[in-house]
Amino acid sequence: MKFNKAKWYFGGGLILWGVMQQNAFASSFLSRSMSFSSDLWTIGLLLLVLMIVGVLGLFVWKNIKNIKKIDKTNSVIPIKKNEEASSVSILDQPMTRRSFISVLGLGWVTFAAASLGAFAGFVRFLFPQVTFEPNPVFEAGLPSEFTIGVHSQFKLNKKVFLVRDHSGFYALSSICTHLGCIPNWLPSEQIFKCPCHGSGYYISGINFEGPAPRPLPRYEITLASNGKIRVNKSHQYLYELHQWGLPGSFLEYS
Amino acid sequence: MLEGFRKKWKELMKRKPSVDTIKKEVSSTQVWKSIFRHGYPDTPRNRVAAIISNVFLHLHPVKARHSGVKMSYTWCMGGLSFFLFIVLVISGVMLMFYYRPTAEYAYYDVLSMKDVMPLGIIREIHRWSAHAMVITVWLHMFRVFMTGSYKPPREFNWVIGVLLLVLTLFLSFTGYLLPWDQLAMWAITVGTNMAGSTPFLGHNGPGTGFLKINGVPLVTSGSDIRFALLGGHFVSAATLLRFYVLHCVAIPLIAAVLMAVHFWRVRKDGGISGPL
Repeated sequence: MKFNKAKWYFGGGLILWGVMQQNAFASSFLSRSMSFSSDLWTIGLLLLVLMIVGVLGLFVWKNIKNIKKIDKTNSVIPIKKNEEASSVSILDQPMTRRSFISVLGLGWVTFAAASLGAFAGFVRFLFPQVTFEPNPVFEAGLPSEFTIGVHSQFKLNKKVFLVRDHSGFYALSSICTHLGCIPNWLPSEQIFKCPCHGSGYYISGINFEGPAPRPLPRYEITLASNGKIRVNKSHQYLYELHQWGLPGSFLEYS
Repeated sequence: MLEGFRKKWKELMKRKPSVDTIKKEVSSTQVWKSIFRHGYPDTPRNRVAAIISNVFLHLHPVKARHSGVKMSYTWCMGGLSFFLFIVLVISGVMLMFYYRPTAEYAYYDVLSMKDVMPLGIIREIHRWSAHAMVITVWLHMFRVFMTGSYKPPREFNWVIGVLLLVLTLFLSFTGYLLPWDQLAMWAITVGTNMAGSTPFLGHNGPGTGFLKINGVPLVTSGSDIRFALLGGHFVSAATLLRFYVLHCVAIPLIAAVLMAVHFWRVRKDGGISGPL
């Protein structure tokens, strides 16, 4: 019966392999970082997978017994009549082809699930947890420092045009809505002009020529407690959604 | 052993040295025989044996149809593409010895490739070969289309070829950023913003409005395909490193595997197609 044992070991080994692989990749997939919490995730997930495999294994075992009863008549391996199936260890019992395939099938299902999990983990891996990018909130300076007109000093570093008109301030994104280049302010023509594909915007940020599909977004602009203008780029106001009148899109100052 | 060698040497010295005797002696050594299993491919049998016992040649058909080697039929564009790929791999590996993919050094390393690197033409070879490869790959596709070589049984190989075309363009695209100058910056900014407009995958693309859980959008500028491509919200040092790895390792590996499949299938599908 050594050959039958080998079959069991093979099927069981495949399951174990799948579980191990799933565990390894799923822990990297779920954890926020390599820390204590990731170990907890790993242990928890391992227990969960073991439980599922255990339940499924019991189900298969139970079914093997039933199959054996049916297979007694046409089984290739003769079974002694006086031998009680349940009294002998499962490893010593002759294994039918059908039960072997069912165990193997479970192994393949586990393996396929693990491979899918590994792929998902790889996709997740490509999205960084932390980016080393500048803070979206910045303080531009005191309102009195800015004359009426367009101020381009934040154009390259902060990607923002700070504009002051007769009633106050607004912060325009300096990223062209066409394909993300940085338009220049042309004082003689009083327009923003993108050097890449020729999109043009009025001083308000509304597009009027070129391939730009929509106006430049405005960013949240408020007065900080120290009296300086604070621009929050994580909150934007879109003209096409009629958001330019909302509080925060404009800073009144005269 | 030394004694045996001495005897052999004496025997050799007795004979008249000629090209034939040297050939015979060299090709009868154990070293020669262990490398080359078959004689000169002068008979049909030896030709087949020489091809199938060589790991590089065995991807190719043993016999080629007469039309298959006609320049006017194939334009040799597939072969030229592969030749340029090899040129690019060799020159690219050479450049990797000097190039550092960091925001601090990348631009100056590219300048130094021309100015102070020995054999300073290598970067130009790499650059022009890359341009040429894009052209030859397109022409190869054009030829295959015009000769109807995509028809059964070669449909699968056409698909592999299209994947190789996309990989070639992606190699070009990722290589574009590496000089780290203004042109590179804005080309990649524009290119990745197109990725940001992919349906369902990019935050500016159509269909992303539907992907919401309790009103919270799933696909944002911090979780879309553009973010994964850039490794951030805009072109930065993280993007440079990412594109470097894609350009030098990931895509060439995938392309090499697909090329092996491509050549193998040319052979399995009956060699290069003939005129209809």
